[in-house]
Amino acid sequence: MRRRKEVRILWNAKDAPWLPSGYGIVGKNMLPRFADRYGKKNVVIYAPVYVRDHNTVWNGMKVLGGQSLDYGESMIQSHWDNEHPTFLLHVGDWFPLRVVPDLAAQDKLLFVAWGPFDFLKLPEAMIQGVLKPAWRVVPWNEYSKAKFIEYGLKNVTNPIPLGVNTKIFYPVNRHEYPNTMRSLGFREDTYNILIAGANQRRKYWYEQLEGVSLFRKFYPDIPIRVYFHTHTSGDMDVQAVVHECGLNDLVIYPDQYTMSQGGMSEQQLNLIINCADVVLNCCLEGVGLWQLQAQASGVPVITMAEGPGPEYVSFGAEAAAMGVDYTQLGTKPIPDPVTVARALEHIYQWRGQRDTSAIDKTRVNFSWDKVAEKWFDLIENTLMPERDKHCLYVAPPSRRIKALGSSVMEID
Amino acid sequence: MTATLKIAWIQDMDPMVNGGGAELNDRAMILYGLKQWHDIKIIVPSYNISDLEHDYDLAIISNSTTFGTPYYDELERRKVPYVLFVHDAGPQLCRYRLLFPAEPRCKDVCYLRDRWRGYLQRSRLIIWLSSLHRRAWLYGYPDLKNHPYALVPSAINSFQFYDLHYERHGALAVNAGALYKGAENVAKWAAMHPEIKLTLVGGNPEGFIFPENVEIQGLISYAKMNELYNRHEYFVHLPANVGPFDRTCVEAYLAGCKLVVNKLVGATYWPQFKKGRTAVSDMCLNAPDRFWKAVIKAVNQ
Repeated sequence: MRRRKEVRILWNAKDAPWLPSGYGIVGKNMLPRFADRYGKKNVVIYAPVYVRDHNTVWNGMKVLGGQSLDYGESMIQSHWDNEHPTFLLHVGDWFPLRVVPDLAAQDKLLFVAWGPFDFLKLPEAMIQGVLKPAWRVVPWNEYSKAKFIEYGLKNVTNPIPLGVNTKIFYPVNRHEYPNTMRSLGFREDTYNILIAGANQRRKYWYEQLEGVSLFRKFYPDIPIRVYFHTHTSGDMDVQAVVHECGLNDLVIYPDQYTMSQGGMSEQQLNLIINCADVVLNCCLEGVGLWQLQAQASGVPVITMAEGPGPEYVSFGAEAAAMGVDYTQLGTKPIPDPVTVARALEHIYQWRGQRDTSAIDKTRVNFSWDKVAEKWFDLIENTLMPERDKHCLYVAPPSRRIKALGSSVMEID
Repeated sequence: MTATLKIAWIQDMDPMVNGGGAELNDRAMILYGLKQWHDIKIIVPSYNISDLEHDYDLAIISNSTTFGTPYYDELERRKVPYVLFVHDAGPQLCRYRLLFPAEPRCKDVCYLRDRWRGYLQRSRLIIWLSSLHRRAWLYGYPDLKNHPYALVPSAINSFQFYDLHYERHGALAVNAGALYKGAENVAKWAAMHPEIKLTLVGGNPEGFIFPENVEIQGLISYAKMNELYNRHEYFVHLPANVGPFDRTCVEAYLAGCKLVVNKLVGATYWPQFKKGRTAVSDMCLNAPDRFWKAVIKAVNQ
């Protein structure tokens, strides 16, 4: 491998790696791998929201603080100038970036954007303005890659997906966890549906729950149970939506105090997934970690037909869109409750089954080791050979210049 | 009689308003051009780039880093010839405009070469401030060796800098407190001449440690510079990087100072320095005429 010692990464993700969010999980899994490869001193984490006005250390890696509640772009230039990284690796939501692309356009830093295109459409000016100055855009999946290219970007690499920790997410015999089953409201003779995700409007919970409601109407003799793993307050009054869909008697929520304190451990989440007969996560996600985690356990998933879902879900069903929603940024597909109900019907035949080919596919393609391998290849064989072309720090005068500078003369 | 031209003069800072060395130089060239009845429109890309949309016979791009390649593409698309009036190493030679290191990788590897080579080759003319300045550029772009060019010294107003016949003492250095301006070299020279008091005007922004015979002062207004030069016997200018021209040296020289310089001072590469102050004064006074003759010749080719 080329020039491994010279790689120095400034990691910029929305959440700090010690948080249980998706971004936190990415950091928790990728940063130690980068540190193993390039040295702990060469991986610097920028956690502007969670570390303010000071810096700290996480697993031997320096964590830089910010001074603002936003994405911390106000400190980026200073951190760049002080830490001298090879590049800034920005993870996830690239839409809010303003300063970083500006600095990149002025050749003051090099940034690599590792993120999704999780819309149907976005304003072209946004993509060009934010991502065109990036050194490279590394999409999370083929859907995102195709979209970035469609929007005229010439700096798009092959996808590097987010991964799943296959040491934590794997098949578990739910019969050995009757208490967990009971706490979720699940029984062996019920159709156990797990709905999981953030309480955000873009998840279209109403339409997904309406799909469950329709399934119940189609099949009144099939006892259904729903465990809805989310914060009950957020973008939506989830309990009101559940009530409107007539599912009050079926739905159980997690303990909200636990959710407010960081939620459950990944091990607990794996148990929850394994207790389910199906995971319903039917919206256009950037990656949909729940989908990957479910597939790693062989549990079927209902995913959105539009978007990257089909790339992750090989055991499950797809639901179609019934229309398009205009969000503040772009357009998203709205899941069609009828096709959600049909998907539930389709999966019912596999109730209680696990698919080993989905497990194997997820382990092979989406393990964090595999993700890291792809990064090492990109960094060492593509980025580093180009890095020399960009002199981002002032080089001292060459010997020839020094020689001219040392010959002093007097002119009268 | 030469036909007058409609010219877009592109600069990052309005030379009729701002007072840096490059702007002073541009102002002199523009005023001379206006006297020749050329219609010159100053375009500051961050302010009035939309004025580029008018019809021009020529664009002169002077000291602009914000006028990026898309704008050059636009000029070429509209078949507007352009002249590059370069004041330092930027933006095409080195992104560190005053700190060009001239390393081998500058020639072979730097990403700027691929980005800018075509535009430089398609320019009608490149104007440098001295032969040293041109040599630095040819190090990065050896293929420009046969490209049309002109060497034009800075248009320093010799009526502003002249010998007042004051009593002179000690040495003067201006803005030499930064490493790239040669703080180390100046300190070394001062240490080798402890008997000479060196006044360093312009502050010591990097906190460099100078010998005891160096006195550091703050900024002085441009209007008072002639008097300042006239009170000193020596003017010390020992930059650490290539100086395209270094007008303070010429100002001090015209004001009667003996120059203590190294081989990185572009102005001293002009042969007039071997002929004395009158020749240097004439050289600077004639700079605008030299500039416009070169530009008109390039346009008419």
